[in-house]
Amino acid sequence: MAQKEIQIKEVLSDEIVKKVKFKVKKFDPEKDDKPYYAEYDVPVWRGMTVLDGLLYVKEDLDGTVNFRYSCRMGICGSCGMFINGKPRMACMTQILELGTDVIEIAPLPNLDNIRDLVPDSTPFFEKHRKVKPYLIRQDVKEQENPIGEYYQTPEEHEYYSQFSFCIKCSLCYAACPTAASDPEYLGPQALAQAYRYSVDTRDEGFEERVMVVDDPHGCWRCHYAGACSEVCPKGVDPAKAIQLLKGLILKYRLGLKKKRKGAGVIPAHPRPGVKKAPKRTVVQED
Amino acid sequence: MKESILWLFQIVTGILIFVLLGLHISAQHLGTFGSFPDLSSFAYKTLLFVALYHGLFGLRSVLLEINLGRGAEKAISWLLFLGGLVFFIYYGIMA
Ligand code: SF4
Ligand code: SF4
Ligand code: FES
Repeated sequence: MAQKEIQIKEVLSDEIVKKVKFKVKKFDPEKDDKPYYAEYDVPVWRGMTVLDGLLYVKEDLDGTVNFRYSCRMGICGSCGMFINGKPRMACMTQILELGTDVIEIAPLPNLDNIRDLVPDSTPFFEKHRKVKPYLIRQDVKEQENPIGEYYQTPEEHEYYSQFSFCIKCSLCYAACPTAASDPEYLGPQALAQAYRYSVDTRDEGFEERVMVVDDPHGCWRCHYAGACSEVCPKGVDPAKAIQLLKGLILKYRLGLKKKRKGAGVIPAHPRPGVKKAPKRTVVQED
Repeated sequence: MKESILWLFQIVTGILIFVLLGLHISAQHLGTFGSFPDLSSFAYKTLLFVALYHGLFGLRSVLLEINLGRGAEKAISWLLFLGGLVFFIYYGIMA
């Protein structure tokens, strides 16, 4: 117990263990002709992340440095940056683990730069929206006025579970060589989400999504080099999802994919032994 | 044609190249089809066809990634298709 306490103290100690140089790419489109690097000396303590370092710079050294963040705990997906030549989440990157005395930070590549470390994520989210990342049901009326929950077994949930961990941080998009040369390429995140929803047994929108992804700039341009999966902070493995998506589309085009109806609604009085569905949490006002 | 089907041909032709190249080499250097010259010529023509498709589709994929615009991409696809067809007729059928 005492040993554990000492370890925790060591990890959380705010004793400064070294200083590192932050080289931060700066660019203000209203003032600067081209981007440049500004340098800051940052004292580092154990457990300090690159985001902590940037916050130190902003609060104590240079208030003009711009970057995006929100949750500070790898959930919101907004602090993606190009750190020491690799797309990473600033709040999930331990400075000491980088093992260097100089840390170079730039905005994510493959997206335009709004200012300093802030990328313009608009095309990334447009592509995400394009693949219809939601459950599509033929019975729209029922979907708009739900009477219960749709069936799904734990096994069926496993078909897409891994791909639903995506936090839309765009690190995969920034790492993708195809997205680098082809701005029209849908990109790993959107394609992985196309797969995620298409294999969801509650969904009936596969045909609609195929129209979007079976395109010269859709999933067929993926080389399966896996740069996207390597940088994904959530273990989503978009490269794998894209290959599975290709298989699914080929099956469909060759007439080998079984047609299926989306899972039905759990009845008010389920089979004996099966728990009753919980009450609706959102009540629609008429 | 759907991109998925074109891509499928790319994979199939990739596999076929291995088989046909083996047949072609053995026909040329080991005289495997000695008494069946038609079979040897068929293997050669098929190899030429699949190799042309595989190579030209690969080239098209590279060009699509440069993102020249939908119009230019259509033109490139047609140009490569017609170029491949002429090549095959000249070297595969007429030769
Ligand atoms: S595997 Fe595909 S999507 Fe992922 S980085 Fe490579 S080309 Fe891009
Ligand atoms: S797939 Fe991974 S890297 Fe890509 S946006 Fe989702 S969480 Fe980020
Ligand atoms: S600040 Fe939310 S993921 Fe980093």
